[in-house]
Amino acid sequence: MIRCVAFIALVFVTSLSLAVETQNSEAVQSKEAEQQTLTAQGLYERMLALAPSAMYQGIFSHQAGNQVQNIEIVHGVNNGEIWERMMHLDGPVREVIRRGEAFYCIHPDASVEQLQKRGDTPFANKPLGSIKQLNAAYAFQFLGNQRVAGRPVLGVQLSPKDATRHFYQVWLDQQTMVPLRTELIAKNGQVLERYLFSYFKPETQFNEKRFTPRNKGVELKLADSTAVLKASAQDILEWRLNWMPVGFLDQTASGHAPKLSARRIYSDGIVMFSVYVEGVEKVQDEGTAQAGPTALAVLHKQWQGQTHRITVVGEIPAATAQRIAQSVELR
Amino acid sequence: MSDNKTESLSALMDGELDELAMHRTLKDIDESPELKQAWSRFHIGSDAVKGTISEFSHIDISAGVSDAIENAAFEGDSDVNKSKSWLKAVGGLSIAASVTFAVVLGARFNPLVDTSVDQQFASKTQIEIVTPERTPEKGPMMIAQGQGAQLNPDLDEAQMQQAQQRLNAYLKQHAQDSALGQGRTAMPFARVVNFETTNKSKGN
Repeated sequence: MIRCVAFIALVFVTSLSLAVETQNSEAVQSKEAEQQTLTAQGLYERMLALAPSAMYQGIFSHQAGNQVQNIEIVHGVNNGEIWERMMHLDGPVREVIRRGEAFYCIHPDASVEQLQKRGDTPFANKPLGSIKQLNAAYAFQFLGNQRVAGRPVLGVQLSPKDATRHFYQVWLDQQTMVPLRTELIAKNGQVLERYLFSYFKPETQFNEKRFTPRNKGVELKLADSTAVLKASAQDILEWRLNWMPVGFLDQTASGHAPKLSARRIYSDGIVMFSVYVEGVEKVQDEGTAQAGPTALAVLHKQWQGQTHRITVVGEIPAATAQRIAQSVELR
Repeated sequence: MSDNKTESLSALMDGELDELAMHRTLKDIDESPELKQAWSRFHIGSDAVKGTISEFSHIDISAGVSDAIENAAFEGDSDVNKSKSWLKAVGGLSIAASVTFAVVLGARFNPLVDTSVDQQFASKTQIEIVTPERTPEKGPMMIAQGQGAQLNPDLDEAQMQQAQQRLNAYLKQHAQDSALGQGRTAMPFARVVNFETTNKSKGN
């Protein structure tokens, strides 16, 4: 009888200690996961803080859907302004020149188009992609060490917390924290877009010569004022979104409309979507389509006896774009 | 370097700092080259402990491997005008060719699907590491799959073209906004070239 009790006691103690052990290893596991998250967040924050002001030159490939192209980039800081020069290495010579907030596009015929002027951005000056904003929609994971363009990198993945958006991976150069490989990946593992450096060289000094357009004799003259239109009150169609995924914020500066229509821009810190609403005479097309990482949804609604076309464009799944479009209502 | 700072560093490494202290320490690291070095040593140290030390960490990345490349790609006085004359020889053709493949969107619309089912979005996605290399790439993305072109059958050729141009203009505008909006780098401008319209091609 005593033996039997002892046996039961032994079994009890064993199972108890087993339970404690399981609990401990679970605790260790969750602590490890937490650390990984913190490491990933810390790295991402360091990227946000350091990469824009890093100085480097390199060559990267951009892959969108089934297309790929090589681009040369020079990036630096001049008197507190970010300067950049990008040149397409494949096909016709195109360049993008950045001087702080001013952007210029040099076309193959050497004509210059100013895309944005100093102090005239269509965006409200809101901080974008803070850890707090990102945490609403994404979970951070540390992916470990890898090697890109001959350099050691650290990987961070942002996994969506719901099904309304894609996965995002960055591999950060250990020395400069510049992303050497960036990918937007659909839930099924398909890569929608990839930026991948094949050559990367950090610089210690700003060298203005490197930022001069390679197209000789091109002048970065100011664009005429019609290039970017300020909207007048009657141009603006008052509408609102009844639904959008968690974490997206309206980024549009007030009173700023583009050439095309009344549009607003939203971002969750990683990707953006634009919404265009306009009155139309005739329905041209309707549905969803995909261009590389970017989905389009077009649909029509009748308001006050007039057909309105709603277009949503963004790096989000087509179903999400469509649902956003369906949620647009007149204010 | 003070022991205090070293302690913060190791606490950061172990994920034991609160958000405020984390920000302060990250700022310290950025401001002190000494701390920066220690930080990278810590990383390597901890990786070694975990047995995940990078097999590439012994490579000296500061070696001037790239001098030749640099000279060719950046310093070389490559005359862009030369390539322009080549362009001229081919005429508007090369420019147009690089453009046409982008303008395939309009006619390939998928029909609208029923998104009224909240479940589709509510379902939590599995949070896991995705490894794209192991997933075979699917076919071209530029042309959306699915039947049922939703183009209005009353449209004539010109109107259809107009519809496609409109969509391309939206795509271009959005790509520009994405590049300008995040403000960190002009790299997203790479997307813009995919949506350039034929307006820019000369003598065509």
